Amino acid sequence: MTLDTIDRCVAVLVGAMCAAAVVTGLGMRGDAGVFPVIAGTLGVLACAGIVLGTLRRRIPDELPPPLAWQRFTVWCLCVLGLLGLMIMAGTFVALPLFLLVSLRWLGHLRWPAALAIAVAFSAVIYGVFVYLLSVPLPAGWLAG
Amino acid sequence: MDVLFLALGNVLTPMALLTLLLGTLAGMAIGSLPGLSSTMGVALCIPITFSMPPDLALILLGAVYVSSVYGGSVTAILLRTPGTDASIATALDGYPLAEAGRGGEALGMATLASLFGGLFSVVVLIAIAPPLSTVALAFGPQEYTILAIFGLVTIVGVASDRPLKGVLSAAVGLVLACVGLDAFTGMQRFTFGYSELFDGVPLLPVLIGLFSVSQAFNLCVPEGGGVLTGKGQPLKGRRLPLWHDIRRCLRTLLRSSVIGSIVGILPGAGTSIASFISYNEARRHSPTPERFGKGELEGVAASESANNAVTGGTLIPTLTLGIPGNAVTAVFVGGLTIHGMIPGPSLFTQHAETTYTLILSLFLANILFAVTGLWLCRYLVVVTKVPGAVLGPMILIFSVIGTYALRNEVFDVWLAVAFGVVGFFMERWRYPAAPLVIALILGPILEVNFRRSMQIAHWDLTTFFTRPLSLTLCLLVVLALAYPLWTQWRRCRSSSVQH
Repeated sequence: MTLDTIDRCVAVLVGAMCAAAVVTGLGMRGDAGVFPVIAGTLGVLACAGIVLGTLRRRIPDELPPPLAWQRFTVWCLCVLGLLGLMIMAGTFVALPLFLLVSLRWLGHLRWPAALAIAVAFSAVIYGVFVYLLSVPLPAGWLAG
Repeated sequence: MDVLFLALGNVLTPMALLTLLLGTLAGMAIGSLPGLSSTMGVALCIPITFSMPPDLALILLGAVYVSSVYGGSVTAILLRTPGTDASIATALDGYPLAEAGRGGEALGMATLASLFGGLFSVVVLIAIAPPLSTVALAFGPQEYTILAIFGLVTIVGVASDRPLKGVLSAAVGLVLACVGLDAFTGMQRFTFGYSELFDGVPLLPVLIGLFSVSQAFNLCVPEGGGVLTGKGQPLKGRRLPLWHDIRRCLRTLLRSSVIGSIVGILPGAGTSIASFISYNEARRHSPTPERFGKGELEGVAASESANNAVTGGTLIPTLTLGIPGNAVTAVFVGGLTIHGMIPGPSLFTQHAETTYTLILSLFLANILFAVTGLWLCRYLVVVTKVPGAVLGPMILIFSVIGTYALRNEVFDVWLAVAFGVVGFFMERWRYPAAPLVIALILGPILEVNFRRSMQIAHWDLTTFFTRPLSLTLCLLVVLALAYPLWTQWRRCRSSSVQH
């Protein structure tokens, strides 16, 4: 997909959301809806401008920088896994596991190096946030 | 004057000095890593400051801010890979000097110029900010409304080469600013029943998401693991330029510092703009302009003094008026707010001691980065050997844990990650993130003051033009709108004449 096509898709999507904000704002009681209407209208106008701009543009269209979809998917899964595990199994189960997996698969480090970094960095996080700052990080099953 | 002495006492405590040293070193490391910005550095430090006393917290944030701008010059000179956008102009002459075996001199000049620019801007901050805050006390809702519009107009005009994308980004920020309970009627707006959104979209998770989480994506997703090169080697040779070279650059240093401070005060105009303007001015005034771009110390001096002079300048509207001029100062606003300090004139009355502690710590941070920089900067290039795919997961963990630490809410973490994905695609598709963040900060200021003005004036819009201060600000808005149009018209005209 070229940048112009992406711009048009983004403009349609965001424009629809801004239009929804305008409609909702118009239905609000008192002057609570004034600002949503102004902000939404500005968004709709900007989206219209972007769409018109892409249709009228004379300079050649460009492609966005290539995205490594496989790495992107793996990384997103790692991040989702981190958040899910943090809540369920506890922060200090999730952190070393996330680091180990991402350093091994994305950073291509050897297992011992990845393990050493994962443990050391988790210890730093424990020291700074739990020991020094007394932040009650999610403990998950560990607390149970 | 008493407040200044009290603030000096705060800055000179062992704990403050240690915080300053750690902040300076961290900032230099962050700034020298290509791809990691000053904004991200300051954003990542905010959760760490959460349980600190406000003065120590601001010392840390200030030190990271000023030293990260300087840190960008190291890799710009040694690798031609600017650590931050502020140092792009530095690479033009710094790298040819390094290639010619004069890298040590170039780094020395960059350090001295950064010190000069930084100290100059702090002096300007001390001289201008307190009187400006007194003027700001005379501001009513009309003035604040126009001021917020001025901030939005300038950031949108300058932040992107495609202004409509900037407008859209700002509009999304304004819509997000509407989320939460309405301050006047108590009505729920766009909360979708989530109690976490009753106070509005939390600013810091959005900031951390857009600037830090998205950076973790940028470092981990590309094949080959990110943007870092790891080519740098420690330098040998002279550490400082010769005295006659420094004397030759004095005028450039002064001119660039003035330019940097002025550009910093203007909302939206960033460090890279200041350094390019100063670089061009230095070339224009030089007796040997042909040497620029081929290894001219004056080019390094111009760019570095200007970009560090911006740091103090940007804090002037932020601290006195509560209007952040760029993304870093927007993050700063977040840092101030979590410590119960609302940016604006009250900083110089209710929180004068803490505010002056911040200003004096900036002064010391400049000296500290110069001293440590002269000693360390040649070795700092070693940090670029860390692959992006190793650095990315660590940044993500810091962002996730830091965001959670703000309110102990898992919702904030999900929000930060969601905005991280949004920020990642915004950068790829060339939508500037800064207008969104600035609009999120200025939105509530704009709305509250607009509605207050309308209630006072019974919906008579001429109220904005009948008060001298608001009229002056309206003229500034018109100028800010007209200037880009005028330059574009001139560019079109000159190109058509050439054609």
